[in-house]
Amino acid sequence: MKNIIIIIIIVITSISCKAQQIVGMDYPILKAEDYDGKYFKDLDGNYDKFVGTWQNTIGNMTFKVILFKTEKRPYGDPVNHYMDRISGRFLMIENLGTPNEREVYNSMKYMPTLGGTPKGVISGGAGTTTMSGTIWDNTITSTILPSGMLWGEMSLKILNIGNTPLQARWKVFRKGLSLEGVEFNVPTDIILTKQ
Amino acid sequence: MKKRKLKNYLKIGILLFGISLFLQNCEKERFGTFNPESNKDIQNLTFKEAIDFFNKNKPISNLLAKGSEALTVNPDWETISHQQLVYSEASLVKADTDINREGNYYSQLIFININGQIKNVICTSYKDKTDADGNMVDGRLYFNNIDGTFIDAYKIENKLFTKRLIPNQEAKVNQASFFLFLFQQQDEQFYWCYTEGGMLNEVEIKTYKPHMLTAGGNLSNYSSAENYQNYVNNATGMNTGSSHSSGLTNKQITDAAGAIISSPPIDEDECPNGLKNDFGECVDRCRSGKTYNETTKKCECTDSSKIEDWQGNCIDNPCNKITNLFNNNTNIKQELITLKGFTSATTERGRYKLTTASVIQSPPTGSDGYVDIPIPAGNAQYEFFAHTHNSPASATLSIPSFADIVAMAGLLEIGKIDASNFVFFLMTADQTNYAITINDPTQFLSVFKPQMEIVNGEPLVLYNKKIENLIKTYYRGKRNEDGSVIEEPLIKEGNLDKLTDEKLFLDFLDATQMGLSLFEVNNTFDEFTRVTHNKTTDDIDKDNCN
Repeated sequence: MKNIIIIIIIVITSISCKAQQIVGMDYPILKAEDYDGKYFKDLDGNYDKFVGTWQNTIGNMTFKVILFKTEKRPYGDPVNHYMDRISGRFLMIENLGTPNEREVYNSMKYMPTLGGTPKGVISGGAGTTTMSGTIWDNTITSTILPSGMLWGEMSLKILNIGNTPLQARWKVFRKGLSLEGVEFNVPTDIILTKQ
Repeated sequence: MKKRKLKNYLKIGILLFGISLFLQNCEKERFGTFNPESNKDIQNLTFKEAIDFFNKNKPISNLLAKGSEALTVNPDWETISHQQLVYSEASLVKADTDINREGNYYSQLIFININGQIKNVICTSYKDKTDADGNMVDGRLYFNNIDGTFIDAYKIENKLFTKRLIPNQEAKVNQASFFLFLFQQQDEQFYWCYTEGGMLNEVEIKTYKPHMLTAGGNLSNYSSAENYQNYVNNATGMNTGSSHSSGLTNKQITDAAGAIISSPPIDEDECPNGLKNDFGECVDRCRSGKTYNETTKKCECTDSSKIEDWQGNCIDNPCNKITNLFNNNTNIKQELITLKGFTSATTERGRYKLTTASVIQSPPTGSDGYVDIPIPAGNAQYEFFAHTHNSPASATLSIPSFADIVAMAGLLEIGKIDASNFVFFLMTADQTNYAITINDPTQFLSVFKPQMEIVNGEPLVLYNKKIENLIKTYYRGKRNEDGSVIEEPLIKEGNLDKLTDEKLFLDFLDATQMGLSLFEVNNTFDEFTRVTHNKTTDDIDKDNCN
């Protein structure tokens, strides 16, 4: 009996008073309150294969997507849960690696409407083969939207899991109504290769 | 032997029960369940407005204990600054101030613009115990009017607001019988913040309710989980898992002060019927245009033809927008019935009418199967816009998608919607028909304003923190094509339970405070019913427009 109590006390001491419950990204959510007090963590390491630089070159134009992990991002106001996320940015370069190299556009640019230079315009989560999330295209050519930014959804689906280099299908889209003539400037459906 | 074994099992059982209780309590304390919406009535104010207000209202004579030197409040305007309120997009204005009183305290003037009226109080903290950096571990926080009269006070223990300090008035003590009086304490140290009677009682603060959520001052619809203590401690971050190791900084104390001033605790018995306690004063329980109903204990629009908007303001019934639209367009009903027939198609379809056109037109459907909204030239605006969510029903949303709402906001942003008469329609392959009106265009647009926020050192573009979370909770979430979950949203395509989706959508509108109204529409487009989700009964409350 004494031993059992000692073991239990040790267990309690080691786990202490946990601040939040760490759960996997696939933890089931049935109602909004299910998020409360949890840290949704990339326990399976699914994010790792997406983090890094992905690119595609067609002709002399190279499209790059740079993804990085944002660990324990706080959510809620006030904060009621945390979540690991993948954030990212994009850029288009002409004549990459040549003396004539020129940046055609770059999401990491000063945005007067934001009063700063965003590093992350992509945000999402990932499973075993697909990352999906949202994107703010701040390089749109249409001047209709005062913010100069178009919100949409994105996905990056790995096509050759387990192989090197990884290849994935990059898609940007809107699932619903959109304003005619306000189009994404980023490529909306291409194959990217991980560098 | 058997008896001894049984005894041991009993001991282990009790121990395990204790452990589970302990762990549960730990978690509850750090993540308070009370989650107030942003304060709907708070606006920003400028430094000039704050200084002008103080100069205009600063006391001429002292109201503190007779015979003592008059209280002098001498603000250091060099230190004036804004600090965003935790539960609001707006900011308070604060400035350090000298008070001609002895003691080891720190006083600030705090200004908050509530309902267009500036509240200006002296907020004074005493640090009884500090950490190595001088941050408060134990202490007291006092609120005084700028003439020195006592308003309210709190005790902080181990970085948490634990007790409220209330004047020891015998009559009040008897009346407020639900307070759990822990003990009475004669202050050994002289606190200038409360001198009348010289004694404050410590009471638990968890029994108080904030009146922030119901803009009209209603006291109903609170669950027992809502807890003022959590509300205040969440404001400092001490309830939400951040920085527990150090004491409360002055900023965190100001966060709590801002939360308290903007939504003070109320004791329902403190004021006569029809009045509410507003930080020490009994004021009208209801805002302008409303009357307190003693039976329902609610503030109701005095003009029965009006309804409450998301802020509790009485506005023209949005049903009128739909009625006017149908009265002015005799063929709209048939056009909408025809459009509904297209829900069996495999792509979306739409109908719309512009203010400059006499006929109802059809928008193009993009190659992705979704409707594109033409941007009208010149001064033309949309009178209505209708579209379908196409078949198959197993893969469609029975309610508006987030992109639908974003597009509507986009039209409003570029001036192509006159919110005072615009109606949005949706009919779906799930056999649902809805109409939406915009009651508060400014609020609607503010929800969709992108902003930049530093998250773990990285500047990210987001909708505001609250909306971003709600979008993720309700709409976002995807599965891999192999079916494994990436994120699970509450609203799901192909959810066959239309009622659940409708409740979730109403919850989403309510939580995001978009200032929209949702209407159920019958299949012949001649009955419109404004719907809201009653979270107390979990029913859809219906208000028929016809």
